[in-house]
Amino acid sequence: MRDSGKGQMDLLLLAVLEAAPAYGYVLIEEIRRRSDGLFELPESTVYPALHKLEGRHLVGSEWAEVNGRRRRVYTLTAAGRRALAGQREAWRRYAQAVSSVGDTP
Amino acid sequence: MTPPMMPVGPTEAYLAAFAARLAVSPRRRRRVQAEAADHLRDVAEALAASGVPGIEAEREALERFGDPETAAAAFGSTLCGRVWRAGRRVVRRRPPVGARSSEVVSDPEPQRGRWPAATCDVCGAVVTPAERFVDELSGIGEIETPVTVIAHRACYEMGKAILALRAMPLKSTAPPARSH
Repeated sequence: MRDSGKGQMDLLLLAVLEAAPAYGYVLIEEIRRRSDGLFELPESTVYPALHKLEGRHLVGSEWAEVNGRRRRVYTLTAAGRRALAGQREAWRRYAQAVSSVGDTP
Repeated sequence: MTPPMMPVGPTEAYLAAFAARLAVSPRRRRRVQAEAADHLRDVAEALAASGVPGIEAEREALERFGDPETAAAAFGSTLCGRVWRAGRRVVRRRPPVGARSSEVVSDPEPQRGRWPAATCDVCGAVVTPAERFVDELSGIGEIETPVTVIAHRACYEMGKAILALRAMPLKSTAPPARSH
């Protein structure tokens, strides 16, 4: 089963950026790797999502040279870290609730 | 003598179509286009490294990114608020806005290579063939006779916003009258 991951796009992007700054392609690949290929993010939607997160000051970005190439590298901000914590908690509660309902015969 | 035309690959053609449809400021357009170009190259290289032949890898990378119109539309909403606010300021300061800003229309389609040089009908700056789009406006606001327009995509969006603003009543900025 594959999922576009769009519903939780912000959480996924922020969570990957928590580990290290990254540019778009690396973020997509890392999300795919961490989800064992379950999340195949529609590639062109990742950049608008990153730009929106930047507009909300949850991530910052700058051009940097990575492996000899100029890349737009995104970094999690302090506000992004707080937002990630909140989204994680909300997701845990949601997953727990679904599990409680779904697992009860 | 005109220089020979450089061959345009599928990625270059895609990026030109993508950029022409971005409804964002020129500065932002350059950034988005650069990020998209990097991304497409990364994907094509990864596919090529896994054994997909060069041109097929390039095409698959484009396919994964989706059609340029849809991909560009996803960036559109970020401009709207800013354009709206900017347009509102312009209208407040200098009503009515010059007719040229409203001579801009819908369904833009870049027609590169047809005109040697042009200036934007909205901002007056030079429009390069890659950013240029030409359209015909009619039936919007006071524009009844079709008018051909050449403009930047961002300017076109600004023109539309201003046009919409002209059609709506503005909130008065005058201080409320005191009651005695």
